[in-house]
Amino acid sequence: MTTIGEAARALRSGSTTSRALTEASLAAAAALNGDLSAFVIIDDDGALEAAGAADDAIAAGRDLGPLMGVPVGVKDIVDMAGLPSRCGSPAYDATPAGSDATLVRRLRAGGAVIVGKTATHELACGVYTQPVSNPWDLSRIPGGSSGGSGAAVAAGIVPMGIGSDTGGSIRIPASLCGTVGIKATYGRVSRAGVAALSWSLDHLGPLTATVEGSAAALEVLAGPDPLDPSASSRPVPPYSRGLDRGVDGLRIGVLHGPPVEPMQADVAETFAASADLLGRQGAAMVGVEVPELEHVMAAEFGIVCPEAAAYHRDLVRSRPDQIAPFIRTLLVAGLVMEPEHYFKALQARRAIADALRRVFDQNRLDALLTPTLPATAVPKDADDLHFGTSTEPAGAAYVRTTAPFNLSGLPALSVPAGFDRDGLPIGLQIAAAPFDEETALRIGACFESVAGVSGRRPPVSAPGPGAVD
Amino acid sequence: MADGAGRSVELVAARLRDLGLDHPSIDPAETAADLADRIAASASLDALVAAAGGPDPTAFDPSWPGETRD
Repeated sequence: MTTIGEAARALRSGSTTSRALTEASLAAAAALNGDLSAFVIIDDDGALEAAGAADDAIAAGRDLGPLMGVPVGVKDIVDMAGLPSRCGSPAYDATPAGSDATLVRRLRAGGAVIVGKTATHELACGVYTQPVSNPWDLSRIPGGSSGGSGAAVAAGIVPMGIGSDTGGSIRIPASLCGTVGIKATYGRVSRAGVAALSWSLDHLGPLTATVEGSAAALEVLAGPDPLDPSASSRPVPPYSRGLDRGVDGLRIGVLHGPPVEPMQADVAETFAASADLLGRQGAAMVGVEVPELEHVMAAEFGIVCPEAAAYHRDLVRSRPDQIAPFIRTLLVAGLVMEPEHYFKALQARRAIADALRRVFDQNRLDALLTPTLPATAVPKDADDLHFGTSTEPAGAAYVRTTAPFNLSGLPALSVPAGFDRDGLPIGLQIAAAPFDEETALRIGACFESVAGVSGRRPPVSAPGPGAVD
Repeated sequence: MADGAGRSVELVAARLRDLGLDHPSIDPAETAADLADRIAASASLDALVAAAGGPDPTAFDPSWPGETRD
């Protein structure tokens, strides 16, 4: 499978057709899904029909945008008319959705070809996404909760998969699977028609093979929506323009202390090398600490717990035995706990957002750099991560570096930065000021062009140029 | 019912019944232990948030008012 950019150029030059791309994608999905379980629904008929329409549009000289004719996957918490949204849960039945989510309507209007629905961790609440496998090592997790999209993109089945991100669920699988993933500013992408986990923390966005692909996808996905009151009415900039401007003259913070540490030695080395590399491209690198981020996990789960419980209150009352124990416990707590805890967590969120703003202001930062995650992918049967002599539940360790940008709503991009001694991907996270996705993407594109990580393909992948190329 | 790490399992069980959550898959003892952990986590936020008053936490807006960076 080619990247979004390669596909777009090939389609416009006439060197391929959307039908050919879609058939290759469907064949790869059929061939690899036994190993990866990335897709829960493969929609051959719908995809081929959309591909035919895209080819007709191209033949008629119409340009519907950068995703025209490009095969994509959509996380199974996003409504698509005629297909069920089962949210990775046995509690959800196979009743088809009656209408498309706003972002699906945007994809269809942009000529994208939806080949199927990708697996999610149950109720989008977790980082394992069972039974999905990581294409770099089938015994390891892909991350979550958008693990199906991460695996599908990394394996080259599709050049773009939709994910959702409440505490890191786009960036976690992007980092663990070696793809790009962007969580734009809160409100930048409509949430209408998507099952919620936590209304005030949920974000939607793309996982892609390249930064160019994420920029193109965001141009299609972003924008106002009367069906989502949190959707911003700010104009959507042309994210794809200016990706080649480099980083000369930018000031980039390098986050140390909580919640970045502790981290695995290979991650620490890659993070330091990544900051050095951006410095050599002309950026001013500024070491910073944000002590308030020590409280990220208490604030994050203090909000997720009651908001998720409110959203799923009927389910937890009527069929609690159909919910995984960890999630059931969270939902029950959200119904039982007094509201003062929720409002305190919301106040803590404001304090954390203000602290991040201060560090940007006081250091005149254009962006803030962290390792996307403190560790690479754990084995599927492992509960914990080990950092020297300390042990931490994987579900907490994988969220503490990403959740600050859900709490603050800031845009955050994950790009592949290297590999650990076992050949597992390591990600670099680039956060920017509100609605300044362009700067995060610009830095990510520069890093991608010089990091030398591109071109490596996972052992389990589709034939062709490769997902991470 | 007041929250507190010392709440008894019996009180939690009663609260679960009140909320329609008395189901075999929901164990009051496990729930009580989990609540204690969550309430302790909430208490840790006191270091970040004033004991009373503090910022209005509603209507979250990610933008930085009054500042444009372009």
